[in-house]
Amino acid sequence: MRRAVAVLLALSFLLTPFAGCTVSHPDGSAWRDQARQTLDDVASEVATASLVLEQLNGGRLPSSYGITMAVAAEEAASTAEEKLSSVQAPASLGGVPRKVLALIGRATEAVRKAREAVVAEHYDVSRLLRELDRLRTALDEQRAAL
Amino acid sequence: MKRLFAIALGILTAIGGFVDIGDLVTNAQVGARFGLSLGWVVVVGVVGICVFAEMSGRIAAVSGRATFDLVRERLGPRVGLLNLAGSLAVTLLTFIAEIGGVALALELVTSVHYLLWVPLVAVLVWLVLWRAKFSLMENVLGLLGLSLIVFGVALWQLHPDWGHLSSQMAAADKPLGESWTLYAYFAVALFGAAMTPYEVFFFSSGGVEERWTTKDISTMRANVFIGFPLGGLLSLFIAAAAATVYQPLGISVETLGEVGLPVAVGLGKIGLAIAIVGFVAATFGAACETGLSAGYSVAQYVGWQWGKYVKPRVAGAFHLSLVLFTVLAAGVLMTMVHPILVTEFSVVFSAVALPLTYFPILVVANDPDYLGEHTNGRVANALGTVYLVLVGVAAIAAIPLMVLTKMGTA
Repeated sequence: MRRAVAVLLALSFLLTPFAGCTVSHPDGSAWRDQARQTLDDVASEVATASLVLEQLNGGRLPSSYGITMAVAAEEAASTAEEKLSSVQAPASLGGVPRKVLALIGRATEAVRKAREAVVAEHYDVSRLLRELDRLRTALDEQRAAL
Repeated sequence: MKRLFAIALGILTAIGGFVDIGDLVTNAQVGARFGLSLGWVVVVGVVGICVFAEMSGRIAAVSGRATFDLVRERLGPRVGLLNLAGSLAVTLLTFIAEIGGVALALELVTSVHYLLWVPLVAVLVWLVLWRAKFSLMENVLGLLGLSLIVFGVALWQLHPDWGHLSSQMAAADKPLGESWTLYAYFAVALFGAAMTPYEVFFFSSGGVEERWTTKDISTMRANVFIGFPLGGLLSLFIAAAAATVYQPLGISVETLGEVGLPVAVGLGKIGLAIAIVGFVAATFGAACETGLSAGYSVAQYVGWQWGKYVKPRVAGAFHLSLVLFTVLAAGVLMTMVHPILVTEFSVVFSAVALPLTYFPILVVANDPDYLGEHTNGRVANALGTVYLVLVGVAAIAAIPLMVLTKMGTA
């Protein structure tokens, strides 16, 4: 009995490092939870990028501060996107994961454009601001629909 | 007149020195997510740190002995060592977060990545710990920390719905869409941020360093009972400013830049510049305090000569420990672990480690062998007991809540 327990413990100890190497494949409900969290995170970064651009355009924010914030927003949005896209979505959800990932990809791309505008000191970007606003609404709606 | 000046200066530095990276980040995160519905926790935490600091300050003034000296004597070497290990780990975690906080603040001003600032900040902190006078360190950084009042002015300029903010604070209810588990997790984090153990180690050890006597008890009480609550008010301003700007937009606070942005929205570049001075002063001051507290804790437990007033060649081991802790803190940050993540861990583990030092201090504060006629009175004991329960509950709940909520992200 003791031997069996010892073997089991040794096996679990040896296999632990491999646990993180497999692709995560949650069920539908767990995937939806993760997607909702990602939509929330990306919407927050979209809103941050938009607010930073507005403040820079209004002359209320120094460019160094704006650059740091825009870079951080882009990194956070990209990390959130990568994290969700590396999860194997269950087949039962049909085309929903593809649609969600496409929306998140568009939002991340818009945050990247905002960072480019901030670094290039092109703050008068009303089209980009409108796009960011539309995307934030779309992300919120998608989150509610999941 | 001189005494009045000393009291006023003490109060001002207590206000400016109250806020550190944990308060900055946690209050902004909570404000953005929960509005002022967790403002009551700040009030509870501030009263708690007043009770804790007053007891340990009184012990230092009457017995001339600091926290870990007494912890070892009361609990014995073995339990005392466990106590030291737990408290030191949390203090070091906070030290790492503070050095990272200074580097993040400098990144905001320069756009140079914070990792490049970490070694320089670590060297500067060590230089201050080694060379600067205790009073200079405390007063200059404490007074500069007062610039965080700019959050209050920015809040005024943001024209918030005061009625809504007041009703959120009074109702103490979670916003729609948030769970009670998350609400409880952030309540524990805020409590840990307000009642960080290092503040008390630093306060009481500083009292011993400055050779407080019973005559200094009234000045010490004025600093604690006026300075700390006003410092807590700064925390509420930070939370309220974040609530006003971020809650309607659904922005969650993940960076130090986001902590300061509401000031820019309200007051523009000049306001933001003042806020950044406050960030640097608050985090640099707290880095010095946590670094010293870590050194104090070990030296007091082991029985080394310690103190900034003692020359380095007399207190060699103490000063060497400061160097090692500073190198360790910078080394951890250079592994690219993010300072905000370390901050989030440090406030939660502060709540976990609080009973380790709170309980022995409460016991000693009731012991006439140490305090003679200055033992706790009825009010101090009633509050001390209530907070013993609160500190215990927070310590037990902290880790399960952290796991359940995935550190507030679930």
